[in-house]
Amino acid sequence: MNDVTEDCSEYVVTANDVLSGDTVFRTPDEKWVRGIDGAAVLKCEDSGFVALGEAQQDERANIVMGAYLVEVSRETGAIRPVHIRERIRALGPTVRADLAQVAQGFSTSEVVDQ
Amino acid sequence: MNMHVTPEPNMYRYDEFDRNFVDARVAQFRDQVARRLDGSITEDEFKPMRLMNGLYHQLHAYMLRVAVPYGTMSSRQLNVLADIADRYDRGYGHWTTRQNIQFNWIKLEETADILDRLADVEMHAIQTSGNCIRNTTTDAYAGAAADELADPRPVCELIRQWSSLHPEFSYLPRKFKIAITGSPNDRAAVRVHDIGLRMQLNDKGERGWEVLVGGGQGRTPMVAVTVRDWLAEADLLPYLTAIMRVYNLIGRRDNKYKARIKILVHEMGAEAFAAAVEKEFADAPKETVEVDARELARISSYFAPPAWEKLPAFVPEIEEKKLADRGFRQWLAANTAAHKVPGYTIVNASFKPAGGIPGDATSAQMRAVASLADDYSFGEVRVTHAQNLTLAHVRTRDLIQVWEQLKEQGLAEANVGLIGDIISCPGLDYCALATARSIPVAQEISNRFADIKKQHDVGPLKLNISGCINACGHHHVGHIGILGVDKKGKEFYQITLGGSSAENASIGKILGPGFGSEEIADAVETVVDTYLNVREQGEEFLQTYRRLGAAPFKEALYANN
Repeated sequence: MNDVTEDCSEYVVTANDVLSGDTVFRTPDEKWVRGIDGAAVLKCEDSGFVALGEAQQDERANIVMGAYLVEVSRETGAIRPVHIRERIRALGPTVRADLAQVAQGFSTSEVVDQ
Repeated sequence: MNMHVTPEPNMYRYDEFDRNFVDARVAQFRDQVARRLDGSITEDEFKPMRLMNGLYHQLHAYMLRVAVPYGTMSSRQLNVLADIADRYDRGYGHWTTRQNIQFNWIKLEETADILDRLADVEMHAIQTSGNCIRNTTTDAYAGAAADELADPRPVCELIRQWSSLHPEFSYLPRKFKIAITGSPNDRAAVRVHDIGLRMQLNDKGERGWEVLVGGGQGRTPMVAVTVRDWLAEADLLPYLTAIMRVYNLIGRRDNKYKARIKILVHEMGAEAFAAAVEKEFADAPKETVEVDARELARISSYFAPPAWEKLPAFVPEIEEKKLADRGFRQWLAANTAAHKVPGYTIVNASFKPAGGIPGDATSAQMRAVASLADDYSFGEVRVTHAQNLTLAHVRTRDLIQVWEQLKEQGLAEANVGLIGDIISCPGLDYCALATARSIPVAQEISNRFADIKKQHDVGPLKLNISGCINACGHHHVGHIGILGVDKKGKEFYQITLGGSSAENASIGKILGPGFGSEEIADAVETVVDTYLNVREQGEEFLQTYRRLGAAPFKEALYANN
């Protein structure tokens, strides 16, 4: 069998908090945080789907809604979604840095320039 | 002690039925939220309920879209919107292209409280989402414009009452938008709405309507076709009912992208569609007509003209200021419009500062405009479909004071109708459907054209930006339109030219391959520079495009590629 670990993409589980609507990420200890840097990074889609299945219990418990997997990269040292939509969702909006997750220490260029 | 006086503008006021209806709806939604939070209903079950009350979930948070019926509100209502922005959101709101307001950072558990607060001032968020008849929009200058035949807002209100929770039309194949103009100069984009109504006067001076159907933007933009040149006003609701019935019955429900009425009109053909409507109209009982006429008369009484004074049209102080102050002169030229009554002027507050976010309004700005409305415009404010606010009835002699106070709030950029007055959807910075950002593009372009003198030299030019094919930023009808798309994870922007939402409406044509986010502002500058090089004396951008077509612009943009 081929060892596919080398090519495995990395994922985090994301959802939205039911009460606030905020974007949240699932942590290694199965809680939810607003900052993506607190997210559990999951190697390969398979382990991602396992974690997603567990996260969906929190959907049924009305803690979060709309859980799904987001592909991320750690090339810059930080956890960053690969796709711009997910980067903006995690860190944006890019046009109101004072209101966004970027205000928590991220830079706007991190959101856009990857 | 100075007492601030809040005038009561002449606009529709709730009667007991309206109040009970809205209060009951808020109570119902409060219960629905409670059941969502205690787990009695799932998100899938809850979603259509929250959408029926204007509560979306967007990219970052819940978003509440509040209806501003036909764009008219009182200063009291605007002050409440400011309070909501401060108390329940993050200190600002966003004027939409359908004359509403959106709040971007709403919490579910607070939404019913917000709706309660809105109900206190006769506002709500009902039918700002869902497959129903949405807020009927109209000319922001209604009841004031020098060029209008009559104030269309009583008819807007009649349609609002008819369409609110209409049992037959609450689950249409798709959302449905109606726009109305009382002026031959269309500032309400009626030809790109599902139904557009243009007021007409016949030889006897009687009022009637040209009825247009099947316009729209989105992924299949179309200009509406006229199905009736003349419809007597008494027949308006029966005829609208006939249109809705034909659509409701034969409109497609199998594919949401083919479910708008424009597709039905296109697939049936305009003549066949009109014939089906006429048959439905002829067959339907007419006993409601007289009641509707009485109801319209009742509603019209709410919209009686304000207590205009008899004033001279010529105000020497204003003329002197125009000569002496270029900034004031530019503002007058771009941001004001002719009023029907001598001595009065229509004033626009521009929410398009250079480098700003089009249509975003801070709570302080909302309160400032509300205060200006109280002091200078009978306590009334309009939201324009270009995402600005209008003070419809300012005494010409007060223009300098109004200008000064708007300047203090950053609302006097002299760019209304010019390239800096960009219509932009929220795009990927806020919207869950967007595929590219639109606000940063608008910001960069407006910075490029920050020189107001240059904007005035360029002349009337509508630049509209959408962050996806749904076209909320009206790019199809921008003289210059920009559509943001996702191309393998990168933002790309297509340019269209030649669109218009005015009485001579047209859909813009794609110019050629798109541009990256770092190239798009340069490309727009090239288009504008090309226009400046080839225009004839007094020719506006759209006229030049229609005379020459796309060739000179393509040549300038793509010749080297």
